[in-house]
Amino acid sequence: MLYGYSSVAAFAVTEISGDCVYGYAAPNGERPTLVKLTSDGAPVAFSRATGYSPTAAAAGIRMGWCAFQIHGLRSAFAIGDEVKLSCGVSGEVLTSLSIDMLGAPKTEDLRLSALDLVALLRQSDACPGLEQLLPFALNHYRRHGARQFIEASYLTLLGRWPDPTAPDVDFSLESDAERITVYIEDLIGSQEYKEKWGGIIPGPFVSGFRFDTTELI
Amino acid sequence: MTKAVLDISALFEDTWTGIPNVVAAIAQRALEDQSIEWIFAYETIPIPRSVVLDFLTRHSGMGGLPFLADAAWNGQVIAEAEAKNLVAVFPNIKPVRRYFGREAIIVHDLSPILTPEFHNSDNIFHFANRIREDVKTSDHVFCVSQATLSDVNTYFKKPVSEMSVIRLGAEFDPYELSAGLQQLRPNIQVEPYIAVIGTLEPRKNGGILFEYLMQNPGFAYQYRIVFIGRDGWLDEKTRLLHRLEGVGVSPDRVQFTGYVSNAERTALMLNAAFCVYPSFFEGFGLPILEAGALGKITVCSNSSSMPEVMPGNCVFFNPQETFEFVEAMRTAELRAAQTRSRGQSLSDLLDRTSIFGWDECYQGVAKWVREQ
Repeated sequence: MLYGYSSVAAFAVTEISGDCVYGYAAPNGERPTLVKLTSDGAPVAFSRATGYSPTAAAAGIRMGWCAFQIHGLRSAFAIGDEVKLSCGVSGEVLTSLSIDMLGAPKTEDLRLSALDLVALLRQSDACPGLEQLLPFALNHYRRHGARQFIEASYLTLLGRWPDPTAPDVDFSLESDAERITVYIEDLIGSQEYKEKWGGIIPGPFVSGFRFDTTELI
Repeated sequence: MTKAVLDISALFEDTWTGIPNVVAAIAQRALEDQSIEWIFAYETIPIPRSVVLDFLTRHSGMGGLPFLADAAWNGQVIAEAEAKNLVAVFPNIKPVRRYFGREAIIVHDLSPILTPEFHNSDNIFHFANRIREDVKTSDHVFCVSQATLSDVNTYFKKPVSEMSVIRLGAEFDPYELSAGLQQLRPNIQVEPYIAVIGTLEPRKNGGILFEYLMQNPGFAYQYRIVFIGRDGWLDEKTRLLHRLEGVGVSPDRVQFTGYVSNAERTALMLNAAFCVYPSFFEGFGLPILEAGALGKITVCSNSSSMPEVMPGNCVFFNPQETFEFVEAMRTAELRAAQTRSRGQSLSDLLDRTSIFGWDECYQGVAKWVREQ
């Protein structure tokens, strides 16, 4: 059963590299979209459009949070001739792909441990930089206050509740933006954060993201 | 149309495993069921459908408590007079008894009573003080396995005619299945590992892996041992790490993922050589069903409900016997090598998993509700 997805309202392919198609798919509703790669009608791969796309951000779409990357183009052309991307909810065909779009195969082989595999999956929904995380943190701070901002920061970045010695927000700083930036930077600089996420900054669709996304995406 | 209350208290938890996942699956179907007028409730406080939908979409109840506090403060409860005309289903411990006209409870297991050595005292106390009266005051008891039904009948003398088994389901978002299929990315090789699934707690018997490694240290160099699940109680992770010190295997050959999302968990199971579920006691054993639905062989305890779940995909052993575990690991390795479970296409997986959903479980509950 498909649950928690909206159909596609706006769509673009931004790059095809190797056998991966990159693009964005904005939803027709609050929930993200699901993009499906098919070959002669058979499903080959699905991708949630829950990553960050600078192109979508520049176009003012969902702050950029509707990127997808769908692997398996080479497999799709091996199976059949009619290779398409469609909306995983409505079934509407979004674009057809031809074999000459296929990029050169990637030459470097990656050997992953189980934890590397988890990190790889998290990467696709991660914030590329701190500047993509801060609007959500600021939104949370302004809507819910300092205490709840601290709790959301700990839960999102460290995966735990703040302990009694957790630092407070530095109210001597002039603006809200400065206060939350300093606070988040301190958490991200901690050893505990690096051990948990290995440097990945969680995006709004990562399980465990606790900042308020209301009226942002 | 029958009007019924579904207690969704478990959905207010931040991270969902076990019982919250069961409640989520039932609530999801209840939202779509036009034949019953479901009222979702936290104990006796009605929860708007939009809040339930939001939880289900985010797969978390985080942020719901302020709403609940407001509702409780404003006295928005289902009045007792109205409740007497309603049917209520409690998917876990009952917050009220004989408050509603007809009441049913889902019993997952009697583990805190039958195997108290695996639980902390608060949990035993809380459960033991409640479950007997909860069962007694319920017009119907749904059990998640035949083993649990037998336990409830044996220990609480609940007549079998007032009970039924609802089979739990395993359902996968196609995105989750797709994300785990590394053959879609031919330049990626995932190293050989076995997946030990479940919250880290003594009942899950993770220590048997270290007894096995003491006898077969070479196995750890063939396969990494990956424990998938959040830290539970009684400091089991520390205990396991301590045991690892005496095994003679490099510590980096054993990894602990901590809490992982559904997609991450599915990917980890899909890419494992095989799965291990050595628990001493379960009410059902959902990870056994999930692994089986994905086509994975599971080395599985032969105790309590576990032999009921997916016998065709399991290699069973007595969780008290390391010797049997050694034999089971050897058999599983051979059987796993004969399957193509790491090379399945998405179509194969969608077909394979489609028959294990939650519809049957929900229909069992809905049928009883409609009959009241």
